[in-house]
Amino acid sequence: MNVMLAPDYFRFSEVFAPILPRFAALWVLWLGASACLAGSAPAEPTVSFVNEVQPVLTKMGCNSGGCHGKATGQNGFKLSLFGFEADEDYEHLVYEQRGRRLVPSAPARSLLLTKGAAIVPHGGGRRLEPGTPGYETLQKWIAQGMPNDIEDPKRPKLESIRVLPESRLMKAGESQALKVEARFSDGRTVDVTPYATMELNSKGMAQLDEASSVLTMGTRAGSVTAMVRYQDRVASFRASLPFGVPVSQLPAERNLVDTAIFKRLKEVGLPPSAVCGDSMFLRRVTLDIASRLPTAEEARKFAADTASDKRARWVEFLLQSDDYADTFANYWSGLMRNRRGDLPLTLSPAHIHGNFAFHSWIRESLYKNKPYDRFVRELLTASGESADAPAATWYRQLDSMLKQTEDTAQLFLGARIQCAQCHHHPYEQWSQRDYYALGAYFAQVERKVSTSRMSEFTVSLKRTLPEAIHKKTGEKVPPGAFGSVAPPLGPDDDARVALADWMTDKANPFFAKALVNRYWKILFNRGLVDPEDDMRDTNPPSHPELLDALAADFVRSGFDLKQLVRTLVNSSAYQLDSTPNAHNADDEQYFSRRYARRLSAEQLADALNSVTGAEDAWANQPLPTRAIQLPDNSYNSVGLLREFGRPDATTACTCERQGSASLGQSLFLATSGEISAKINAGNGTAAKLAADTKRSVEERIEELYLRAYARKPTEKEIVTGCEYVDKVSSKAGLVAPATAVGAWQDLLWALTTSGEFLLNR
Amino acid sequence: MRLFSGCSRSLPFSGLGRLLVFCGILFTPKLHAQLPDPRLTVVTPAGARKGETVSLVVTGTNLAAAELRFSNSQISAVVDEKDPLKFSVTVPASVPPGLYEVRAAGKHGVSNSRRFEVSALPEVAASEKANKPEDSQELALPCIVYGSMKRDRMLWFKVSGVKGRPLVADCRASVLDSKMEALLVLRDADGRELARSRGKPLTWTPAADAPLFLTLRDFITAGGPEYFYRLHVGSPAEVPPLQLRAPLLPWPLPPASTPEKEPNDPAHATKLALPAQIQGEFYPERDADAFEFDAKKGEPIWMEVVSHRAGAPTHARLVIEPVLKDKAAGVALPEPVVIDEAPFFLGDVDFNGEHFDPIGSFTPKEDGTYRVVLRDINNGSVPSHDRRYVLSLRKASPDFALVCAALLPTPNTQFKGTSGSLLQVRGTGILPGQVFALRVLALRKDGFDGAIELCADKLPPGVVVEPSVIGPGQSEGVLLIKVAADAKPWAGAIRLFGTADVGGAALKHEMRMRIPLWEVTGAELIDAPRVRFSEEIVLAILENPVCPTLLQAGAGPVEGTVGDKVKIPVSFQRSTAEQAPLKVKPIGIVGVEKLKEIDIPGTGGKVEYELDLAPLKLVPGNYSVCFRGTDKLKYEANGKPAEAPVVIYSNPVLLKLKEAPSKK
Repeated sequence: MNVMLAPDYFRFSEVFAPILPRFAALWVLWLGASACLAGSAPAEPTVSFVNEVQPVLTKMGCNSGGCHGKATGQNGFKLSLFGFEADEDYEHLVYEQRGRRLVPSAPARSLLLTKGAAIVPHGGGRRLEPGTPGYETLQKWIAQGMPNDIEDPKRPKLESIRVLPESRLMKAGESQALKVEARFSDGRTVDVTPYATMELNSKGMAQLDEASSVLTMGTRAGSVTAMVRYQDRVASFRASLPFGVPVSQLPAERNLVDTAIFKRLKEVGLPPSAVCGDSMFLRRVTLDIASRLPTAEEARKFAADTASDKRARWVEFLLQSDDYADTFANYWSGLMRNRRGDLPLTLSPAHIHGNFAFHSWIRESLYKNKPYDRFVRELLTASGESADAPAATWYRQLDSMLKQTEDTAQLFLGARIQCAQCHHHPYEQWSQRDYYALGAYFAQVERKVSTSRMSEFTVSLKRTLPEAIHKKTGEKVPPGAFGSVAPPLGPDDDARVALADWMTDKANPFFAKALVNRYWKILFNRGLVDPEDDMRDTNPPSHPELLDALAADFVRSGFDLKQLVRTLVNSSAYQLDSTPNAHNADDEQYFSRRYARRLSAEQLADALNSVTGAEDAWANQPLPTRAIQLPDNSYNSVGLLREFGRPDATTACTCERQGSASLGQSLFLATSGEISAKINAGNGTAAKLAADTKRSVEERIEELYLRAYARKPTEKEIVTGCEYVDKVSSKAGLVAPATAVGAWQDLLWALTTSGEFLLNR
Repeated sequence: MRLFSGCSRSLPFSGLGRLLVFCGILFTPKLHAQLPDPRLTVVTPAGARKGETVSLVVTGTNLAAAELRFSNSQISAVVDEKDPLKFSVTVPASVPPGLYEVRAAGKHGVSNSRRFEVSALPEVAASEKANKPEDSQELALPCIVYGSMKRDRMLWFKVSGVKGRPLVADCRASVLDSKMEALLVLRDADGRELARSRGKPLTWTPAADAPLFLTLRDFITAGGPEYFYRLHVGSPAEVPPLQLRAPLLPWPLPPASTPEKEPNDPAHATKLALPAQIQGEFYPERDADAFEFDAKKGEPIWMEVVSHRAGAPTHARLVIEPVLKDKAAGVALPEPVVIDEAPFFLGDVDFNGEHFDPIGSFTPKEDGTYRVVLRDINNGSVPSHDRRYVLSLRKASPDFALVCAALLPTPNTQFKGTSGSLLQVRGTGILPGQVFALRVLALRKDGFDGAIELCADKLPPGVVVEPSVIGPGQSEGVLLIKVAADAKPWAGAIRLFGTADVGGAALKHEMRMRIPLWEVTGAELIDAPRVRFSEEIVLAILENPVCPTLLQAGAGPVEGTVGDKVKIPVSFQRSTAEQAPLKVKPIGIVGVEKLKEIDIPGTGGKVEYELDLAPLKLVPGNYSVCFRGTDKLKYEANGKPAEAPVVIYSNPVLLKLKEAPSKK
């Protein structure tokens, strides 16, 4: 007998109860007739609501965020986003509005189908085609009386999906049909291709026909990923269009970085640029590690050094310097939201002590090369007053479990799980429960007013079981994270310690990878996974083996950050020239050349000062203090730092820093009083060069180029410079060896507003 | 005539053990110009080497014609003939190194105190030109470098490091009452940072004979005359840790008799016989120390941890539960008792004594063996031997301690639980005929909730302490000192006490005084104000003018019932022709300051103040209440007539409250 007219469908509501006696007899008669008919026909498999109906709705886009899946639903009909909440969807479909959407006695007349097929007006257009498998599935389900197998223990549970093929080298214009297989708990592997949703991560490189699940490659060389989702599982397919150029010459393979990078370049047929010259390397690595320009003296010495290991020695020198600690302290301090300004203005200055202490703690940890796992452990488990435990300042800005959860995941696990606070993550396997399980580690954290600074907090722990309340179900969720389960924790345990134990475990699949990817991004200007804090199955790395190898190497080194930087910058891949060759100008994925980027706001401020001889005085900082050493965001009102996008430390995302160029920046460089003051400073470089009559004009021009570009000027540049100085000096009525200070100011301005100066190439 | 000409130059400052009453009458800045009082802001230098004479300059207000008084009477000061703010200070060689206090005493009274350090090391002034490494000031060790840090400035010092010989650099600033929070950084000759320390001594042992560079600045590069410092540099023997004289705790604990013995985790708890004082440390991270003891049903055991109050960065928590030898299946375990707070609150403007040491009692519900587990909530991941503690387990030994401070005229509306809107540092200058008040905080130990009577000793002629009492269970009260209109000018130290019947025994304890160090106005409110214990209580009576107003309250004890209303007659007299009414309101019982103010007509009349006891929620017993108002004082300043407000206090009125009759 068919499963129909299930008791839960037939609610004896106020509509039916009064008239039930009249229809009771008819109903019984009908049941009997159905039973007889059913008994004579072969049994039809029951349509699964979870495994079949919902995927159809997802495939058709019914439950997308732009339609019925948004928080408020659409036109009175709401579904959960991408069908992540099956019980809610069943409730809305079957019972809402007295079940008017579905007509089991005449399924084709159900609103679900008539609207979906646009037989009746439908704002979402035609989503279903009668006769297609999706339509047939829905119709059959309705005809069967809308069976509900959500809680059915016999229902096969989806365990995983995979896309076939997983990756492929393709040709321009070539198509590849994708097949999506789902593995269920009953051991079956089912082709769910018609019900899987697919989306490209880069629209310009290929086209994807969702109806036929066929990907057609474009003409641009590179890689593109199709993100595939079925129910709450995700997978991806990567297609690569080789460049197809023979790769016959490669730089020396110095370490595992080069091995992986060059291997991939050979695979995709993309010859890399050559290894850069000494001056480019010197300037680049000094900016990257120390956030400063090399001095003229350093540039001369480096150029004159003929030792084969001079680059490695220079790297070592930088790593042991204060500047390294300043650079990376600046980086981490911003991401850890070390900021002032959230209190009323009268109280805001109070955070200065906590902020300075927090920055100092970060800096000292880096300077002493504290292992990264210990650094994170001390941060996560910090308790007490900021004067005694500076790392506890982190919890001042992260004043809720939600923020603590999201920042921890984003900073240290490379996962943006903000979406999962309210629903299953749309592009990742993390559910809402996962979100609260991670949050449960912070459930005991509380903040009390400091005993020494009334505007500060002291971080303390409540004596309670670490549990987070699930926002939707009200369930008390114990700690666990990303597939792991915490050990039993009592009210006297600090659950954050258990979190730190899990995160820093050598086998943790996220922690080391997130960090090496982050540092790769810092030094190579693009992550192996990009954005670097959005690592998910549907955003796969460009070089997965390299990411794994770097992570393993990092763990083996004892989470040694300096060693990681050493490995990265000593590679030939890092030292490739930024100048493209005939083939790799468009490369944005394979690291066949250096990806140049603009100097950061702090680097630019310091670089300008070092070249112009100016000095900035910063509030609450001794002289001299460089911009890279500034401990928090309170200095961002200054023109240059603001204009060039120094972040305000309001998020844990590096995207808060503005790295792109803008018209405002160009105008600032050209017209601002701040820049003029630096160049025209009475005791600045221009004035000193003008007064220096002991050296020739050529020698002085050479010094300027060495300071600005870490290289000597070309012959043409010397000639141009000398001619200009002579011209301006003559016009000013000066006779050699006297030179006009204005000439040097102009030269300074020209050098410091050039692309070569503004970019870290 | 100098105010203190009749006084021996060696005022009775006998040094340790004396308490100093800071008789400051504090006004809010909203009020008019006040009577001049001497205020000492900075003494430069803030110390001297014993056996030497130094030139010392004081800055402040109303210090003209003042003498300097040190808390060690051996230290003497002679004023410069040409500059009344300059003194030649001699520290005999017999004066032990350490911290003392200095005050300026003159015709306006006695100033607030400032710390003065006596050392045994050579001293040298810091060079203001040492702002760059190449201009470093070279130091011959051991030595003390002293100065005032300028804003946005950093100073460089060069010392010779000797291989294997530890070097200590201890910049004493806040302990000298300075606003500075020192940041020390030690570098090698290449500029590489070797060590740094904020607010604490820096210690480093060189690995080779080589020059070392030490930088010093304020942590947030603030600066100014108030940012004075004394940087001690030398070996550990030459720069020993500073010992502070003034005790930190309200009552002394018996010496720790039981050192902690590991392992003592909950599975290996140490068995104790009560009472016990255990000395231990929270080490390593997440250390849990467990102790077992036998207890009887209904007999409370008091537990107290001293750790945070002693300067450790801890937040201790005690968890007590029974040790069940035979755990019956299915029987729910009793909820553990948790003690992680102290019963009294000391965090406000005057005292700033808030801490994280747990103090509480545990009363067993059954005879048996119990286990107390002690943890430090802050001890998550960074092991440190700084996390020391003393754990006291004892039967109730009720007691009390008293801490006094100047009484502010209006309640603070900007700090939670504080007593003043702004903190002012004032000198002492009490008018003849005036009554002045001190706020007295009662710290009650082990559940003692009896009344505490306040009294004094060593008062000069013409000065009496009006009998007053801190009522049962009350956390504070008011002490009133009355100066007769014909009292002679005087300055000296006095002693104030509290007595109480504690379980049949008469206990008497001396008060200590908390004094503010710096003015708190505006933006400074964001930080907990700086206060400390003073070594002595100094009283100063001026020669003139005589206080014109006498406020009187009550005519003997007033009897009443808790929760009811009582009427207290209040009147005042003026020695001038002024007719303006006087507004008064009651003070002296917690919560009474919220009650209404009333006017007393200026014709010498009296009013009856109806004191509503219901909102005060008192228990039967004796209480003291008095009244406060502000009147005008006319006097002569530099030969010209002047006017200033003067706060007037009445005598205390004894309230005898009995139980409310039970409702049938």
